[in-house]
Parts: sequence; C-alpha cells; structure tokens
Amino acid sequence: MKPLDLNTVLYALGILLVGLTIVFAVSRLITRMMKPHFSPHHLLLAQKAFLYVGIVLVVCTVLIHLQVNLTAVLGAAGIVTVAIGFAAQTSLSNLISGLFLLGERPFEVGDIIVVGTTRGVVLSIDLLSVKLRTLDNLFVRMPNETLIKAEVTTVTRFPIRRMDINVGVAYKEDVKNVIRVLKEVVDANPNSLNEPEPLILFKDFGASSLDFLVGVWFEKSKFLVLKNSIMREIKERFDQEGIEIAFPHLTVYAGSDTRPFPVQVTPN
Amino acid sequence: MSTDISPWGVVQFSEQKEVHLEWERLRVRVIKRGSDLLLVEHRGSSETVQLGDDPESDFRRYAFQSPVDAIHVQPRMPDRPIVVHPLHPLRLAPKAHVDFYVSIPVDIQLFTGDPENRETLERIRSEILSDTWFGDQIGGVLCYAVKSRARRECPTSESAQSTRAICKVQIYNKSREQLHCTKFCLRLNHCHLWQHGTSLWTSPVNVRYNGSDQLSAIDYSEKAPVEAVGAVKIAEAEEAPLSGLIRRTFAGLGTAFD
Repeated sequence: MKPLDLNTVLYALGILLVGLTIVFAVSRLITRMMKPHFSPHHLLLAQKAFLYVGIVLVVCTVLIHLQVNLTAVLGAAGIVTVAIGFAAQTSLSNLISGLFLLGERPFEVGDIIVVGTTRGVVLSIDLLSVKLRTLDNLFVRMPNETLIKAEVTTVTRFPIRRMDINVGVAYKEDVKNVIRVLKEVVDANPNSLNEPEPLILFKDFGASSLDFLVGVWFEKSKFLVLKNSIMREIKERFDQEGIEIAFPHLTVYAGSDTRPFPVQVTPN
Repeated sequence: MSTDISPWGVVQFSEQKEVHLEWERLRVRVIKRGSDLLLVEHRGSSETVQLGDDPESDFRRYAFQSPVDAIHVQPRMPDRPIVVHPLHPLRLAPKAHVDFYVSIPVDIQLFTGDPENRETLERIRSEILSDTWFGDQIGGVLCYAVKSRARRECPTSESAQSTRAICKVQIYNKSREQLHCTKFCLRLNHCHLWQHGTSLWTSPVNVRYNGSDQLSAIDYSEKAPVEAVGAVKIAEAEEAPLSGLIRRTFAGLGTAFD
C-alpha cells in the first residue's frame, strides 16, 4: 500500500462532501416527487432506504480512494458485528423489531396509536424506535421491541369509529321514552352518521340506575366535536323531557333492616 | 342599507355599506368596512341578523387590498356525495326503468372579483345535512344523507325552493334480478347547475344497475334536463361530467344492492 499524499486525501474528502450532498439532495428530491402519490409512511421508508444506501456507497467510494482494502474491512466488520451483537443485544432486538414493524405495518406515520397508557400520533418509524407526539404535546420515544411485544391499538386505522356513551337514568323512568329521546338526539346531531345505524341498547339493571348504551358512529376526525355536542344535547334533552339522570343511591340501615333509621328533628 | 334579495348573481354594494342575502332557512349579511368585509350568517327563526360594534357578534372578517364593490352569489353542489334515502323504498323489476326527482340542498358560494379571477369568501351550506357513510366499516366514502320523497312526477316551479336543486335520476335495471332500492349514492360534483325560472336543476344522472355482483354504470349528462328547456347554466360541475363511470351506487345487503 502506497503512502497517501495530500492530493488523494483532499480528493477523498471532496468525494465525501460532494457525495453526501448529492445523497441528501436526491433523497429530498425523491421525497418531494413522491409526496403527492404516496403516504407519509412510504415516503419515510423510501427516504431512509435511499439515504442509508447512498451513505454506505459514498463511504465505500471514499475508502477505495484512500486505498483501503474493503475485503479486509468487511471481514473485520463481520467480527466486529459479532462482538457488537453480544454487547448491543437490545439495540439489535430493536433493529430487528423495527424491520418487522415496517413489514407488518400495524400503523403508519400520522396514525394515532395507544400502547399501554401512552396515546399519541406517530411521527416517525425508525430502525430502533417509533417516535410519538402525545395529544398533550409530549414527545415519546418508544423502542421497537416494546411495540412488538405490547398490544398496540391503532385508533385511526379505519375511516369510521363508534363512540360508546353510557347513560344511566332513574328507575322511575319509562324505558321506551328514554330510548325514543336518545334516538332523536342522535339522529338530530349532524356529526353522527346515519349509516351505520346508531346502537341504542337497554344494557342493564344497575345498582342505582337503568343503564343504556348509546353507540354513535362517526367519521374518525370528528371525535371531539361529536363528543362535546352529543353529551350536551343528551343532558339538555333529558332536562326538557324531565328524565332524571341517575346517581348512586345509598341507603344506610341501623340495626334491623326493617326498622327505619331514627331521625330526630330538633328546633333551633 | 341595501335590500337586494336577488338569490344568485352579482350584488353591488353601491353607496350602501352592506347587503342582505336571504333564502328559506338562511340569511347572510355582508358589511363593508373600508377594505374589509364582515359576514354574519343566521339560520332558523326570522330574528334580525345583528352585527355592529357588539363584540359578541359572531362575524367573520375578510381583508382585501382595496375596497370591494360587489360580491357574487352562486349555488354549488354539496362538497360530498349524497346518499338519498327514498321515504318509500322501491322494487324495480328486471329490465324496467324509473325516473326520480330528488331535491338536493345546494351550497352557497360567495366570492369577489370576476368569475375568471375569483376570490372565494365563503362556501355556506344552505342546510346542515347529517353525515352518513356509504360502504362498510373498513372502506367507503363520507357522504351527506338526504331523505327524499323521490317523486316520480316532475315538480312544479311553484314548489321550488331557492336553495334546493332538482336532480333527475334515471335508474335502469339492466340485470335479470329485482332491484330493491332503499338508498343510492350520487356524486354530484360531476353535475352542472341550471337555473330555470325560480328553480334550480342539476344535470340529469343515468344509473344502469347491472346486478348484485356488478358495479353500476353512471352517466352524468352535460345538458340540462328536458324538463327545464331554456335553462341557463349557473354553475359549472366541479369535476368534468363523466360518461360510463363505474361506481358502487346502491348499497345494503351484499355488495351492491338492497
């Protein structure tokens, strides 16, 4: 191997700088060209794939110009990989999990997911972790291994969702009347979908209430507006119709359950 | 105060500083303040549309480089497909055909400038229609729901409402099975709007039902319906009218009809 002169080193540095600039520029160009036709998830994948392959090629080219024997480097890299593999099992596990996540696609960039107690919008799916922005604007880095092992709920996977609202009314109320009023409230709300039909179910004889389930279908982006409006409308309509919303009742007995609790009224 | 109540076309501010626009269920007041326009929208009862210096007034403000002299008022078809639920479901025999007249609430578009170089102020729904879904829980399209009598007779101009367009839908049952029609989906962004006297008409829509395992073929005509001879085109279709568009139109049991 000849000793390196200054020109060779400068030339290699030039290749590195120009090569990396071209790689980053083309990666950005590809993203811009693909943007109208592909989802953010696919864009991210294409951008990262091009970026990583490009960087490896540029680095290899630079090493060749610096007269480094790549065969030896790759051989050494194999040994180093085994060593690193033992030392960085977690990272490798995340890396492999990341590949599974990319292949399986349980969610995409922009989806809202729930993992354990964390709920947030997927910002990026990287090789080691998934980045989330929670709904109260916190940044969460979630290792890919966790996502592979945990139950992940993709809230925005399907275009429509059902909102289930539990309503309890007093035992004295007429069940038919309550069902009629709930149906009218749901039908009158423009954000509740007519189809699929809303579900109104007399669910249970509760401890203190007759329990109803109101299942309202909505387009996934209208969660907040529907939730706010329909809860208010149910309350307002129940007030108008004189339907009592139940609250827990507790009867306290002293001694025998057949004798009333003694209450003594005293004058001021 | 101007009292120009012309439903469609150009409304001049002239020396007055405001215009009132009034339809059956909607009133809009546009006020000129220097180079700004303020817009108040009111639905329902016939209370006066209030706006002034009252900070409680719910108005929207638009700023322009120079004072605006006029606003254009144009009807538009709703910005989503419409799912029509006929009040009385129909069973259409094989090889038969039927004409429906469906009344569709239009959007009202307010814009400034000339029609070629327009600046849209607002697109207001003349009626708040309920959302509905056409498809299954996994895939489909968000639509507005319209309950309609789906008349078989051509409506008279006396019964016309200024914010509703009549859409003539011709359904041909080309299959060998009965078509049980409880609802159908119309993509009206392919329809022109026509003014005929006080009535609004859309371009006619022809639907050919090919069977429960086939998609329906839909033609959106370029012309005004024959019931509105001499009608003037008042708004272009937002997407070019298509012929032979293959789409799912009837829904319910199975994949294509009910």
